[in-house]
Amino acid sequence: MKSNFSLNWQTIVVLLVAGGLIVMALSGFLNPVINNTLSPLVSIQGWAASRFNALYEFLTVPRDVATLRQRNAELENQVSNLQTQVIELQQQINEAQVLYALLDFARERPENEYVASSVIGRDPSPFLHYIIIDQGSDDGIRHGMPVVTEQGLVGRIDAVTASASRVQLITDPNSVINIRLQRAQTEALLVGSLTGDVNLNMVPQDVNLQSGDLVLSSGLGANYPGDIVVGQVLTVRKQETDLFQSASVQPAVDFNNLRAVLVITNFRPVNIEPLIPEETQ
Amino acid sequence: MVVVSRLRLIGGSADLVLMVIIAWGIQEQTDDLWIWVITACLLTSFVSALPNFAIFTGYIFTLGLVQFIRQQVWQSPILAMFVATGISTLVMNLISIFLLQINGSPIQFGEAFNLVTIPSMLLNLLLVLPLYAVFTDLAGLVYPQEEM
Repeated sequence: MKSNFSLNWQTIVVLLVAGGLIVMALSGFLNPVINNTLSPLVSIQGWAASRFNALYEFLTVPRDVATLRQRNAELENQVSNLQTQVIELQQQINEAQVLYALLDFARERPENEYVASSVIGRDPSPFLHYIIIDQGSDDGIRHGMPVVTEQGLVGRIDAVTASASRVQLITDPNSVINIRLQRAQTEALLVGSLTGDVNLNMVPQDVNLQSGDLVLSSGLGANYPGDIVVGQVLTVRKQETDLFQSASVQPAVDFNNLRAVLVITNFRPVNIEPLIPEETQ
Repeated sequence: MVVVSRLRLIGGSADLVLMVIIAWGIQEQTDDLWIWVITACLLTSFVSALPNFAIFTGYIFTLGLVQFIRQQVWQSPILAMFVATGISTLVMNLISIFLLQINGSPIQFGEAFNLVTIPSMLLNLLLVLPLYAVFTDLAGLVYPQEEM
């Protein structure tokens, strides 16, 4: 009976002490005691954890480095493949843009028949301005056919093989084109030069030639079809003592970045030399 | 190579075929230059609108000049290459101008010389050192010398 009584008292005391400690802890009275007690334990735990991590890395990292290196090489290989694909796709997009532009030009002029062709070379001689295209007589191309792009007149076929042709550009020193000035409604001659500049000659003095005037092919001489854009007048040279005025022309076609052209296959140049009187030749 | 050949200075451009012929011919191990000259003549005459006579005459002159200079200036091949490049470019351009004028091309000699020949010669001379280095290594690979 007595032992039961003392056990109950012990339980009550323990509960009271525990409740008191809980109340004191919750009210913050025990914080200094708890901090002072736990801080050495936390330090010991941190020290042990850092040593364990160091040991773990020492044992496991070499294997991870080898794996990472292999993975890195795989990814670098993949990146280079993707970059190659991006470049190829970019080139295809550029080619498609050029071809779409040529197609639009061909659709706008349904009266002509065209053969599209890529530029595959240039004349190595600095005295001449010619390009080589990848279509020849097997594709219906013949000597003298005009060559254009969506920007304007390029030149005409000078020589043909079965699978390639040589095109004389309008910038070539031997090139002479009969042109028409759209605003002034006057005809003149457009000649090339060694440096690739093109110039207007034989423009009468009474014509009001202005910078920016549009230059079109006239069709005279039967070497080129008419009304193809050739370029714009850049600067006018007019002297009162000269019989004719002249001008430099900015070609509509960018000959440095020529990649694809259209050959007009249903236009055949006519040799009119026999019709010209001998005195004027 | 294509980029270099399309590099233009005023109206002139480097003649890479000519330069390769000179750089290969100036190497003392080579004895097959005429094969490359004939190949160059055929390829260039197929592509270019220049009269074939100009191409053949110019390159065959270069062949003879390289052989001659190699014998005369054998101790300094790089100097020989500079001399051969200058003379060959000049002769090649003069032949081209002359034959184009005969064929009726409206090219003025003074204009062609100033705008094309002199810039072309300058570009070719600029290519002498790199091409000499490349073709010296190439000749060493093609004709390895036995060590005594």
